[in-house]
Amino acid sequence: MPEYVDPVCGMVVDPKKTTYKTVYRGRIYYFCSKHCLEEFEKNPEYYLTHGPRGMH
Amino acid sequence: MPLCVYAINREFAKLGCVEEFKFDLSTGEAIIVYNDSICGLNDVYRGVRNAGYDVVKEVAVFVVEDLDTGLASYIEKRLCKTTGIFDCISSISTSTVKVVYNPYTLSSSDVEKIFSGLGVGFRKLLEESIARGKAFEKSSLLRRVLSFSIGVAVVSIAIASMLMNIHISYNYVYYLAIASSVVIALNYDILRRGFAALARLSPTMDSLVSLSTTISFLFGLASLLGVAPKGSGLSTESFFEASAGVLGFVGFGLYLEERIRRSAWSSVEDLVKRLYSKARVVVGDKVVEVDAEKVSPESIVEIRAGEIIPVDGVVVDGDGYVDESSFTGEPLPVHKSAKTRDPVLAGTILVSGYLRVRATRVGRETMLYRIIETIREAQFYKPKALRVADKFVGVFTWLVIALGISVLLYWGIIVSDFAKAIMFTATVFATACPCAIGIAVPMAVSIAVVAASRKGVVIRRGDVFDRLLESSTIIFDKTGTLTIGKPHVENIWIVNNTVDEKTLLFYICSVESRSEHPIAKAVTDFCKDKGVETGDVEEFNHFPGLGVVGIINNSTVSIGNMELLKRMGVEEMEKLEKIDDIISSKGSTPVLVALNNSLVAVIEVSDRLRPEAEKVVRYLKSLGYRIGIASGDVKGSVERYAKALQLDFYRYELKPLEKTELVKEIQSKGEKILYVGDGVNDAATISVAHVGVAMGGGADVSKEAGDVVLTSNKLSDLVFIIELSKKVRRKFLENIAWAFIYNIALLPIAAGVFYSHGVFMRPEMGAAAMILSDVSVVLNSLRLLKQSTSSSI
Repeated sequence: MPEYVDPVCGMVVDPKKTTYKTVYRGRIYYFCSKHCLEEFEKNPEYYLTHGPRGMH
Repeated sequence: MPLCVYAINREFAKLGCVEEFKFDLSTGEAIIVYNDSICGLNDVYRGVRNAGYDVVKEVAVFVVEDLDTGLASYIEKRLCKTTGIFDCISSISTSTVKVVYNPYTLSSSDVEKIFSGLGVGFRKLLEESIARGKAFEKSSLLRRVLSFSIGVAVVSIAIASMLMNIHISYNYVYYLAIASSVVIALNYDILRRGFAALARLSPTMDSLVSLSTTISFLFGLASLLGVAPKGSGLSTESFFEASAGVLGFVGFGLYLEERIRRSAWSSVEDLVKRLYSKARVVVGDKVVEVDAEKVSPESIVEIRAGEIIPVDGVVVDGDGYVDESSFTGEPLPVHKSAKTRDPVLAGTILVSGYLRVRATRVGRETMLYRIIETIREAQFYKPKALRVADKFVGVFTWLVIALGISVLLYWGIIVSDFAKAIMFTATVFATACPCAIGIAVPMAVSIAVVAASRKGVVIRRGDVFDRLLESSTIIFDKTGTLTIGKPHVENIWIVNNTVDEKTLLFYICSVESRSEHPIAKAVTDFCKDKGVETGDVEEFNHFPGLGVVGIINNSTVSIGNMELLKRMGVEEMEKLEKIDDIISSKGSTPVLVALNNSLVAVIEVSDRLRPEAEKVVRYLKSLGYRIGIASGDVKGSVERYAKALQLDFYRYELKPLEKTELVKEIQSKGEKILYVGDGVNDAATISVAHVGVAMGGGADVSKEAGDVVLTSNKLSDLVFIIELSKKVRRKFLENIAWAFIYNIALLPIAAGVFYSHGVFMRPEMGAAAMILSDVSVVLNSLRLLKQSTSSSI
């Protein structure tokens, strides 16, 4: 089972438990919260090139 | 509590009072330092909730004896200042106070201790008394009737003797004194409450009544003992009958008001009773009777004709007619059968036939429980008008006390007629009860909430009525809202023969059988008709507004819109254009299917407009609303419906998040949006709109969505609810006007201003007038229940 990481905040996410997910460039991404999903949807490229921004 | 602190910080920035926010990721605990001169802990709590997170909390509900507006705002003020209490909301119509607290700071017994420190009579609400208000006491009925009879007798005898100019003997005065004492003893609770409120420096209507009664009774006693200063024109025994009359009338008025309120609530109580029915569970060959809430999901429950269905579930055996009127307002029973695997809801009644139902949701998970809970929640909500009314009542009571003192000083010192001074002061107190003003708004709102629930419309916040009338634009989701929402598959166009048709259908049907979306339902129905088998799907994923992706036999199957396929990396889209044109010219929706990221088929799905959609839209336009569609569907289909309905604007191919953005964007320009969606996909958008309306057949209404839930699934109920809002607003104004007319017209007379013209009132007359105003407000509000059964569409 590979580890899934929230591309916005960097938290480890269990794909079976989260309801926040999206598909981008042929890959599925999972998120810890609605907020992270929204952030990602706004600018997916930023998070894929810069990596997770971490917690504030 | 996984946490993106950023979102919370943003909410705090809006509040402008949070100075420091420390957060410990490992424990999920946060320390928030805020400036309590700017905002309270309840604001901070709401901020965290607005950011999409929850705080660990416990809720305690207390039933407070004889809660009225004054007492309620006093309790709220005191509790919200207490450390560890997040929020405190009171509901006058159910006499309950809900306390939301931090279980790490306070235990439930601490909360009870704090509550008892307030000096009010209360008890903790147990689960089974949910939505029930004051305990209905028979002894209280007897006391009120007895005190009313004695009060009326004393007053009539006194008036008769005055008119006939009979000389009053000492024995007779003793008799009056004893009768009055009896009345006072019977209504001790009003006096106790009144003086307790006065001692807290937050006087209520009870305080005014208590002052009035006590002043006149004590003066009567002083006269009897010969220690009272002499006055002119008034006999001393008048003061006994005044105290008996005031209390007799007030007590009886309170009782009447309570009776009427209860009858308004009886339909909700009827629902609550259904929650605690028994269920017969089939175990092997035997049938065992257990409490409905203890049935475990997946077990089979037997229901006979005439019984209440105890669980939410699916019919697996038998058939029959089910009365669903308490959810949908639809009077005709609906046929439910095992053949079509019909869903049934707890709380509905099997009128005829026999059913065996597989339980899917029991106890607190049932639709019935949620409806009752939302009705109760709505009671706790205070619209703006109510907060203003609360404050007004608080100020008004002080003004009346001030007026009473001035009257006492004027007649006592300037006119030097102490008997008149006492009488007029007592009359002012008895007449100027602000209770009609205090109950005017909550009464109208509560009754409207109940009236709506009878029609299958669940109101989740008390201020919905205000908000509906404030809205200027209505945005509809399309599927399931303007359309029936039962799309069906017209055709499946195969565009690439990489696999044979049978295998392809197997893939499509297997993946779609995992989804709850209406389009998926259309596809699975199509599959059943064609007799297509389904298989196991690995890694099934649902992307709201895009579609679904699943892996089956190592092949990735993507079913959804153009956006989904683009994101999955599917190219060769040019093949699609011709089919797309054909499909959308018919107003249907193309659903694309990709296998291992190459386009293989297009499913043509179509839906029909609701028959009432056109009438409803025309009516809403006539009310001046701007109306539009925000849909996830393709351009052709949305455009066609928008033109057919002559809408003001339309947006298409929107993902749920984009709909939310659209609503936020329009609202940022100062417009207020009423959003109508289907409750499942649109939950987020519904929650950001000024008013969110969730449509949906009872079974699939999601818990979180909607300020208003149309469980009846009828678009015309949108019209009903807007009309009801108008009626509620009119009732507010009428009720407040009534209350004011009584008070303003009678106060000068009560104060003795027209005494020289022979026009004056005695305390008991003031009390009678006040009760009349009180009862007229309640009756006026109650008319909402009757009127609401008719609607213009």
